[in-house]
Amino acid sequence: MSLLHDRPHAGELDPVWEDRHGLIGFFTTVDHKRVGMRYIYTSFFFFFVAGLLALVMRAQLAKPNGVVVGPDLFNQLFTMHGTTMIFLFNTPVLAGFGNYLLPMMIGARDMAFPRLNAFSYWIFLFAGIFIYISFVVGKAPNGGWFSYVPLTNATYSPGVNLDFWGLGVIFVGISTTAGAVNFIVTAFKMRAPGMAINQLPIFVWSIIGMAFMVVFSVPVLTVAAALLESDRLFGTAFYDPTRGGSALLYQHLFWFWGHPEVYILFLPATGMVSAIIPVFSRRRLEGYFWVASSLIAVAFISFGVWVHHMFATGLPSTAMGVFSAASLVIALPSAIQYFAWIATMWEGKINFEPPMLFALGFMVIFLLGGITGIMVSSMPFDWQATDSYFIVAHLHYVLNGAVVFPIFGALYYWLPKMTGRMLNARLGRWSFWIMFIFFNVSFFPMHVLGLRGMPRRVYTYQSWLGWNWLNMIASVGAAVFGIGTGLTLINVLWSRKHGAIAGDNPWRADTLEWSTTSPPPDYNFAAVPIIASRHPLWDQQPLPLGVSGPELATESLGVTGAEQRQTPITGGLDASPESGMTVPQPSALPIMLAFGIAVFFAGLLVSAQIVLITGAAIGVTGLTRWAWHTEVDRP
Amino acid sequence: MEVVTARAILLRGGWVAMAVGATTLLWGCGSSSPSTVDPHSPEASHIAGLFWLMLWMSVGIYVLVLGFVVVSFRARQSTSRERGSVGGAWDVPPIGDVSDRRRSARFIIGGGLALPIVVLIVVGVATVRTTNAVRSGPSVVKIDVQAERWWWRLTYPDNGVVTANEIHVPVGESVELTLTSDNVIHSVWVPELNGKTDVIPGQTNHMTFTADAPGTYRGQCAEFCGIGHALMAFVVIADLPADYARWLAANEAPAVAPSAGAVARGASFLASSSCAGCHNIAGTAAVGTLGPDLTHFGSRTSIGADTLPNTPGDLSHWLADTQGVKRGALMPQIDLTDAQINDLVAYLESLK
Repeated sequence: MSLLHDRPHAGELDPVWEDRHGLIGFFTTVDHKRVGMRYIYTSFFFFFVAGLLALVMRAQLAKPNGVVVGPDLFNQLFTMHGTTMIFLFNTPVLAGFGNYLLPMMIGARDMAFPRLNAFSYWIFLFAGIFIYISFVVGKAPNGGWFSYVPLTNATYSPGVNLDFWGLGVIFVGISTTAGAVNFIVTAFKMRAPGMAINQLPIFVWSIIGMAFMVVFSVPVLTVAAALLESDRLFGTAFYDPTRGGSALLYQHLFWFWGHPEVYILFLPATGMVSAIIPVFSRRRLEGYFWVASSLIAVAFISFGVWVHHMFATGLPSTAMGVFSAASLVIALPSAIQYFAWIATMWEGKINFEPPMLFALGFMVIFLLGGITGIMVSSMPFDWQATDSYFIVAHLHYVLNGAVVFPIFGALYYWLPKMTGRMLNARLGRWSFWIMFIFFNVSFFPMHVLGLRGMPRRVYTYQSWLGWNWLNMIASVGAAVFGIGTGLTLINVLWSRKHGAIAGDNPWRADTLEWSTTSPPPDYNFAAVPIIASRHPLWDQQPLPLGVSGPELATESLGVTGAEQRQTPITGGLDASPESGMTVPQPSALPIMLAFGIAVFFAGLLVSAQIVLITGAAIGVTGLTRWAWHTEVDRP
Repeated sequence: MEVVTARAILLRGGWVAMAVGATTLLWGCGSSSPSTVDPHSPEASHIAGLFWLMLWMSVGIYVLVLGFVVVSFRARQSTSRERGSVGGAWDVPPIGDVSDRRRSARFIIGGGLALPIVVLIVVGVATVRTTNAVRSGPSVVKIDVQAERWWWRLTYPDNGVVTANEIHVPVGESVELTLTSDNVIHSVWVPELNGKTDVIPGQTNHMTFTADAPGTYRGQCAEFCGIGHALMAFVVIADLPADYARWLAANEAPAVAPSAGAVARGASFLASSSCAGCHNIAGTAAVGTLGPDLTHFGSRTSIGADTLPNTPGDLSHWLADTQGVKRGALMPQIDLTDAQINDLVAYLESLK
């Protein structure tokens, strides 16, 4: 008999999977769970920092002729708020959940490239520190999170402020891209035997869609920022119209990444919702095929809508019409997902636990954000709405309401798996209701402000313009919303010691991460599960595990493989076993390479050749050792 | 019991949100300038019509879909919340039979595909019609608008009038603005008259509108352009044709010669001071071009690109503390005595 129904030989696996102890272990780990949680904690740190920046801005705008901050600091605040939320919170926090959950959900013991994974995190951390040093030295970027030229060139933005942005964006892009490659290979090659492509959890589909968008769009952002830095540091003129360059070229490049980026954030958030709603409705997700197809459709269409950020630039209206139409069409996949969630709830019985509340809050908010999205994709209306507070409202309904709410839901849902402790449900409800109500109090009035002519990115306004009360309401709402998010922070800290013990599967959920202990062991699964359903923990009780004999698992791993630092490689649409992969040992090379790159960028920033060369030397040494290790030393 | 409470709170929260929304929306409609939904040109009217069409459709869709959501979790309430109890709220979900799946599929395709396609077709047709309606025809009145940091240089090429921050146009005539910038990107936005058009270095954009009633319509730069962005406003003043002709005639003339006293002292001080290096006052020794033309400054309604109203008191304030009024303005702070300020104010306000 080759299929066992209990957890075999766990004791023998511990020593081969264990990280090194202490500080060395901290810096050398390649465990996707530790890396994933670091991503989540680090990005939440940036979330609260960027939230505080927003509150300072709202304090300044609460009344006309505000005197809290001046224009120079205000410009730094909104630039850093946007840059942080996009590059240092939303993107990496979703990468963190993906990192933690993707291998767990597909029954793998680690990512396809664990060291690359650790490297991605260190790059993200160093890039975050790099960008925030600008605040410490009082020279934060002040050209807006989009840094349009010519305002951001060396003539109009002398000083190091914009270099922090341009270099930082290139820097953090390395992390995002490397992570995406890792996600794609992991999702396609590391699935547990038998997990056919049509049995992937929807969250995994959303990560796949996200990763492909990253791979095709982030390099374009890197080019946009690299040309900007080349203009700034080396005097080229790619974007300088006075020397034959083009200011609009930058906008095309930036938004060619910038709009897919919205969906890079939104897709995994919907994947989280598609994971939460069925579990708390006690109903299999209705319309799995359409939901999965919608995710892939979004990933494609998102590359055809970027010009809707440029409707006011004077491009020919026929050409813009195509992008206007595509921007309307991209509503369809989201609508399909939305009705699939309703259908699931309709057929099920709902448990109003905090994760479900956040998912429902997401649905209420996203519906409005999606509808205003259709409105602004209509070109003539966008001429009025663009660069006004109407857009500020719309984008926060989408990127705060429809991305942050699912992330908070995911925290309540998955953190018990990660830490072994439940979050407090009562505190979670308080947090949710305060966030939900005051989100709307803060951001809804901004629609009206935009319709009444208030442009974005203004540090002050005069008292006779009719904007006073709406701004005051928005500011009060923002402050209370901030308190709501703080309650969840307290909840997370509190639960670490006092939360109820979660057990393996507190929500009686369907996906594989819930089949192992909370928190999971270093090797995730003592034995490789054999999958024959979309909902293995609901349909395959007890879950079949492959350890020995001529069956599926042994074809890939063999008895010894299952007891080694190995995880199965599978292939084809039906994930048939191909071979086993030996998971690399912990290593200091990822952090060494990342550190070298950080020093290199610091050298570029201060234009000090010795620093630059030192960084390059550290990086090249690290990379060579890494390659040497992989090719020559490997057992 | 707790389930009922949660549901009740959710519903109550929804109503609160809707009430807040409705109130703020109504609040918005009842106010004066500036506003996209109080159009004063055919162009802005077409766009406002498109907005109202989409708004009412949106309200309908929002209520309908949210209605589905609310009904969906009223449909079957679980009775027991005991985690893990058999026959309770955390049972393993059954595999729905074919008729269940068929019902859900019809719902998903109907609501997620058919309904939005109908909506998108309506929005798409309205978009094309509005775009064509707003598209510019031939214009008689042509005005060159150069976006500066952070003010607007205005030239009436057919009449030789040069002014700043205050665009006079005749009511009922199609006006074409030619938009250029030799610095950074700006954007022209007068919500009552038309949507935005960016002003981009290296290219020339155009914007047309026809004001349908006399009045003052406030505009503002809508593309972030640096430290002075928030205070880079302007006004469009729509005059009846006779008033417009009078305004043109007055502004074609050189500056009025200073009379005696403070006005004369101010004139001679200005001509000999560094002011003359940047500002032009036609007919005098001040021939600078970096800053706004001041030939008819006294006839304008505002100071510093609609930052302050143009009164003697505000002008004194501006001259005494330029950087305090408008941080980052490229006009340097010049040390002036109170007497010099009084003379300058008297002279500048005399330039009708």
